[in-house]
Amino acid sequence: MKRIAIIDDSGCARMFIHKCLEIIGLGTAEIIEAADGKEALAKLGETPVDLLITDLSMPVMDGEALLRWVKGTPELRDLPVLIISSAGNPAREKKLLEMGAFAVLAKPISPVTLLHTLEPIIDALEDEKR
Amino acid sequence: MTEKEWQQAMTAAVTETLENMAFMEIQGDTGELTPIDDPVWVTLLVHEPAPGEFRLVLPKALLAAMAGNVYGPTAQLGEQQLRDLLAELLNTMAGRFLGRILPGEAFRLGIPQAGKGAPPPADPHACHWRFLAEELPLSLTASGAPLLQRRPA
Repeated sequence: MKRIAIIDDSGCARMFIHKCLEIIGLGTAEIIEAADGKEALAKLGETPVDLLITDLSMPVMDGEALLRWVKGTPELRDLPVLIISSAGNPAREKKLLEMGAFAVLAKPISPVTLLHTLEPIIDALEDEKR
Repeated sequence: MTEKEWQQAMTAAVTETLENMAFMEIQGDTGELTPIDDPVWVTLLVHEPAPGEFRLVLPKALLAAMAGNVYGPTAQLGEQQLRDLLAELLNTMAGRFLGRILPGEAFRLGIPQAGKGAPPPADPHACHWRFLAEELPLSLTASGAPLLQRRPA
């Protein structure tokens, strides 16, 4: 079973992303939620995940710091990090991609956009299973 | 950017946000500053590059209708969940708006602060937008000199 972490200080945003994942056929994935980067670090240390979806603007530890930590940790370096934020723009998106983000999407996302973005990762995971 | 494009940037931001998140269509900027009954509101600071504040005010009945669309009509939602939805809506609208009026510029938003009852007095120089959703009013305000300086003269 795939495990997906959703990190956002808004419970509504986490629920909305969860719903989009269900609509695109990832409803069977185990969802791990956290309200900020620090809480995410604790949960990622206990439970490995296949995909991390995070907001950028969060209290305590924001999404950029979380991305930096993930990409700087050898065991997590290959973990795809999808950033979904309302604070995105071309300049920041470029920086986040250079830091190792898999993709950066602007809120509000739609299931179609999410599916299109995640398609390469879903395929790769399926290939690993075979 | 023209004044018309500035105005349309918010209309587009609100339309995209409500259609995608609350599955609700809006009527464009009505321009009428009619009172909002039983209001709930949320504010959001813009820290960089043009400090200012956004404010979203709407009737509690409209927020409840949006919540019903998002969580399902039978969901029993607490105050915190409603505030959370309100905050997420403004966060998304603000991001969409700034993305249009500050193309290519990095911006940093604060954490939304929600409240109910009469909202704090608005800056007299603030820029207002009024919309209708499900025949109920919804008000957006942008204030703060640095942010408003980005508005075309």
